[in-house]
Amino acid sequence: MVFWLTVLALTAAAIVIGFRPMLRGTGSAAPDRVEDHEHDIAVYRHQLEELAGEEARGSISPVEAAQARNEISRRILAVEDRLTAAGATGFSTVPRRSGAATLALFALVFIPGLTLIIYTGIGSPAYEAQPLAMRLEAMRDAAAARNQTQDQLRDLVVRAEDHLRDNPDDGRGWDVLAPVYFRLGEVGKSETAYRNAIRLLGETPQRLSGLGETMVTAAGGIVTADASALFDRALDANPADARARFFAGLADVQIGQYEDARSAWTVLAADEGADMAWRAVAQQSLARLDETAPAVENSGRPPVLDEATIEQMQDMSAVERGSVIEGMVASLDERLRDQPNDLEGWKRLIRARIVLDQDDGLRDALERARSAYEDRPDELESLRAFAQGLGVNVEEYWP
Amino acid sequence: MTRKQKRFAVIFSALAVLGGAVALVLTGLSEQVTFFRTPTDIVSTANASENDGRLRLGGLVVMGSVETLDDAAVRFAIEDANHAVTVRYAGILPDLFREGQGIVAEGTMQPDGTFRADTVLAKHDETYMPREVADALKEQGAWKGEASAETPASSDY
Amino acid sequence: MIVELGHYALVLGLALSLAQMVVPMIGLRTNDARMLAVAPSLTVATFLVIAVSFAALTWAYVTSDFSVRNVWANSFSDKPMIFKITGVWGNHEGSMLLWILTLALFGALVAFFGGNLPSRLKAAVLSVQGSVTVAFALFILLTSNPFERLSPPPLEGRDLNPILQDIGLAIHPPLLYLGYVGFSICFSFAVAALIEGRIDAAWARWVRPWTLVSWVFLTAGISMGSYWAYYELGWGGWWFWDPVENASFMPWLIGTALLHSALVMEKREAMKVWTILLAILAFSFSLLGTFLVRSGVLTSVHSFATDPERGLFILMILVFFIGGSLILFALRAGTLRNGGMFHPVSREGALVLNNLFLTTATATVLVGTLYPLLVEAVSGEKISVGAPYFNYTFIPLMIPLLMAVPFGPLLAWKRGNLAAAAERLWLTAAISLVAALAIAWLVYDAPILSAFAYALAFWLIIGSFADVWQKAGFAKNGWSKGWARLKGLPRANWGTALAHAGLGITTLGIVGVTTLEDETVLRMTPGDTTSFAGYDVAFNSLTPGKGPNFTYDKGIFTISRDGRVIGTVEPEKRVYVASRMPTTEAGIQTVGLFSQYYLALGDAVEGSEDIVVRIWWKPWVTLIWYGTVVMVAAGLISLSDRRLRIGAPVAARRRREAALAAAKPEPAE
Repeated sequence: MVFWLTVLALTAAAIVIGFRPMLRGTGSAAPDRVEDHEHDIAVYRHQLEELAGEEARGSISPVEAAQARNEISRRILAVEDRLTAAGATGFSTVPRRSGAATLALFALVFIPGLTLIIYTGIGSPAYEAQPLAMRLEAMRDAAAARNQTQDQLRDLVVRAEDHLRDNPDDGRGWDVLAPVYFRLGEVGKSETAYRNAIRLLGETPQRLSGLGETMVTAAGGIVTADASALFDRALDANPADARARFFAGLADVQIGQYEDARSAWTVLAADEGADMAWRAVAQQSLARLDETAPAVENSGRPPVLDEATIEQMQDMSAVERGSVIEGMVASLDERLRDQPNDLEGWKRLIRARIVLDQDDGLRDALERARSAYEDRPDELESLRAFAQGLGVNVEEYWP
Repeated sequence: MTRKQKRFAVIFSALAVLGGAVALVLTGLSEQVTFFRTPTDIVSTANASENDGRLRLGGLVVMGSVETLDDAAVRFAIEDANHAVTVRYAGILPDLFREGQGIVAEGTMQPDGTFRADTVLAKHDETYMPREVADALKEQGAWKGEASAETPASSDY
Repeated sequence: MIVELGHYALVLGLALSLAQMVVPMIGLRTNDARMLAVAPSLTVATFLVIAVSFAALTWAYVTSDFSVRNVWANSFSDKPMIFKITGVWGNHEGSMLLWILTLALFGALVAFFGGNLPSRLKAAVLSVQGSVTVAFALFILLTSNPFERLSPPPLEGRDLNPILQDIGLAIHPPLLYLGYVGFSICFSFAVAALIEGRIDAAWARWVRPWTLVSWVFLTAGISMGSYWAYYELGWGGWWFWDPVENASFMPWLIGTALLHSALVMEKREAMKVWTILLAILAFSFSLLGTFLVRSGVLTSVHSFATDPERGLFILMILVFFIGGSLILFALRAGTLRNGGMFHPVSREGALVLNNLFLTTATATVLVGTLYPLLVEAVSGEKISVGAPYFNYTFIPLMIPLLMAVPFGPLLAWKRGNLAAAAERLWLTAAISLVAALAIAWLVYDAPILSAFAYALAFWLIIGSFADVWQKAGFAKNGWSKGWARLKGLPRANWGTALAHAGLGITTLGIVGVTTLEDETVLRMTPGDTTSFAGYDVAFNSLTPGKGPNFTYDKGIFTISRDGRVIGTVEPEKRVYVASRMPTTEAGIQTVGLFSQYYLALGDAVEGSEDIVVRIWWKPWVTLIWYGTVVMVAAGLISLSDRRLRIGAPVAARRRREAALAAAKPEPAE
């Protein structure tokens, strides 16, 4: 809204400036033809003065001066002849309605209309500017907020754990606690909690896919056969379960069935009944799949994690973010242990650790990256610059 | 001078200058122009006189061929799909001169079959291949695209 | 929001410039005074809106907004602020935005300072100028939009081409554009004159200051560019006859010719057809230069844009404006009555000679620049036309021109006296010859032929002042009166003398560096000392280090003569972090007033501690640029001459009304 008001103000200002003479009324601003000729005569008069000056200084001889004066006088006469000839067809001083209409058409319809049509065709009015400093700050704020909610959650968890210690067969308690553990990154405890809930209360699609998610995360982002079976069971019970649908797609990707994954995610992304957050993740993963499918085919890697996915996921609830990002980061981390010679991979990992505000992970990534590139100063320098660009004080990590 | 004579004088001098310029341009274009050659062109030409005069020799720098001589001159070989020619150059190689990189050397062929360059050009763009070199390699079917560039991230710019 | 506001403003600029083109044209057709009256204000509005757009892009660069594709592709968050700003025009899209900003700026200047122009002519000029703005605004929006966005935004940019991260680049392209694009005003004046059918002395008077402004900027821009290439490329050369350099040099040559022929047109109403043609050509060469650079059709050290779609679009603009104006020219040129007659030996004759040589020289440069393209298109043979061709054709055309320069101002209009002029110059000739011979033989032991070149340079420098000297008339009037007269001379006279002298100074620099230059390439290890061109060079150390966005190896060399230290130079080899691109920073030490010692580092020699070092001795080289500084100053002095600024006839209407009231013709003045 502010944008469109500013645009309106800019357009109005430009048109007022552009058509200013019209606003002053027609009489005084309008030039006429006689006056136009005075401009010519002014030039020639000026030439005559100049000539007089040169003659006075003795720069030119009196004969030359006389000749030149003759020529200039002839030019003045020619102007006056033209003026007489044109006198009959001077400017129209009576304001003609057609002229005013044309001007109004330009000022009020043509200029704003054309601008609006073209701009809405090529512009992105809703897209805010993204100054780097602001973005980095927003990332840090988000991380801080996340820490705060996690602290509150921890308090809750402590109380719930006390309660469960006394009543270990309270299925409701385990059921509530399982996703909270997951959100806090305690994947093992979350898995146990899910299992207890299922044991005590029975299977629901929600619990099955939740358990599957913890297993995927525990496996470093790989959808294991066990996890895959859980998702299948969840889908049998409730084909609409968004989390299960997403992970089923991820499982397809990981075994190379890109077309199945593509269609599953496409349907999920377009499903208005499904959880918004999972639809967004599906949309992002789909885009990633389109970009990287050939590369994925070669290496059999899971879809690459980049900052686009990460940022997208900041809008998700922490549970889902935890699962997807942690899983992918973990798999990236794992892959870099086996294949440390991947500069882009290291940059992605460093960025992910910063965005996730995992200082230990960041330290670990930086240290391993440094040892991987110890003998290659260029690459090391590039990493250093990259990390510094993200606001990391590298010296602190690389003493 | 009559009006006619004045006009004649002006036109005559204009024609003289123009004529002189045309003569300069024509001789300049026939003598001062540098032809582009690939190593294959140089080696396989039947008529040795085609290698006379200033030439621009373009191709890839042979891997491992660059050596600095005692007098600070540099010797390296330029190759295309079929042949290689040894180049000697006294001067500082451009920043982007690398083994395996496409470059253009400007200079003359020596009687011993080596090329003495007085200028070596490589582009100030990591993915860049001098246009002539790229075209020549394409013709020979040896073009590998830009894929060999070290930083593919900037290859679309 | 600011980014999108800039995008919107650019589109609004297109719509406003369309109005700026169309409304005054309708006004001229229907003779509607109000439509003529809005031409200047519309032009100002167009400029302001495009300035908003440019400011928005600059803001995006300053804040490293990588959601703008152009910023992401050409900037880097760690880059020093100055290069963030220069990065705005260090790339294709941004430089085209700068181009139309300049275009609109010149329109606005005419609107602002054009109070002395008849309203019809002014409206026609601004309308034509608007049409050029429309064409380039369309070009930007359709093929090179700098406001394209990326979603989601990347976290880091790709960095500006390191070779462009230099303070020289901060000033060089904007200056060059002010010159290049300034000729669009001359073009608009010419087309307006053809449309209006008024091609006379008054027109020439109005167009002259604009030609001069453009010429001053172009001179400064070319000179800056030359100096930038000299110290940034590390090749030791100051002019390469590179197609991109030629692209700016050709408009300069034509602009110089225009400057002189407009003078004839103003004073004598002669050379009208020719002057109009030159005004069209000057801008046509600017457009051609833009096409050659922006389309990437040339192999050249400068080109950083290659895109056939863009090339085709600019080609269409080129064909439309050059073709259209030349057709209009052909239709109207026949109806022109030619003005004053003159004798071949006269001021006019000298200026015709000037034009003849300058345009012919331009033609040879043009042929040399386009010939490789032509040959490749016709036969597929790849050739290159380099410095040897240009030196071979250009220099012989310049020598007679330079020899004739001092004569020009001494000849009278209409019919001059060559013998009298020669008589006034004999002393100049004698001094030049003696000085040249002294330099050639005594100082440098150079070949006799180079003495001629020195003599030519001195002849130019000294001879340029013959006119003011004569006008002061020291011999006739004595010192004090002569001095007073000298101070009373119109500034334009001083401008002429200084500009010609500046040309002489540049010539002297070129002659000096060409005939006396020396260079060597050698292997050195820190601790080594070598002797070259009479100076001792000690290689003190080679240290690695880190700049804001690059790493470097810096060599430190001390230059001394006979044990006296002259200075220390620190050439570097840099590697930029983001792009991993190496560059060379030359180490330059000015010796005396005008000569330079120039060092560049090469690669390390494998298997030893040696590094290759290239040393140039460049005697008098800075005179090349000092000469252009004098030329620019001369242009500014001429511009400040009040004779070039005629006020609008404010009192005209009142006077006319008074005259009508008295019912009798105004008394003759």
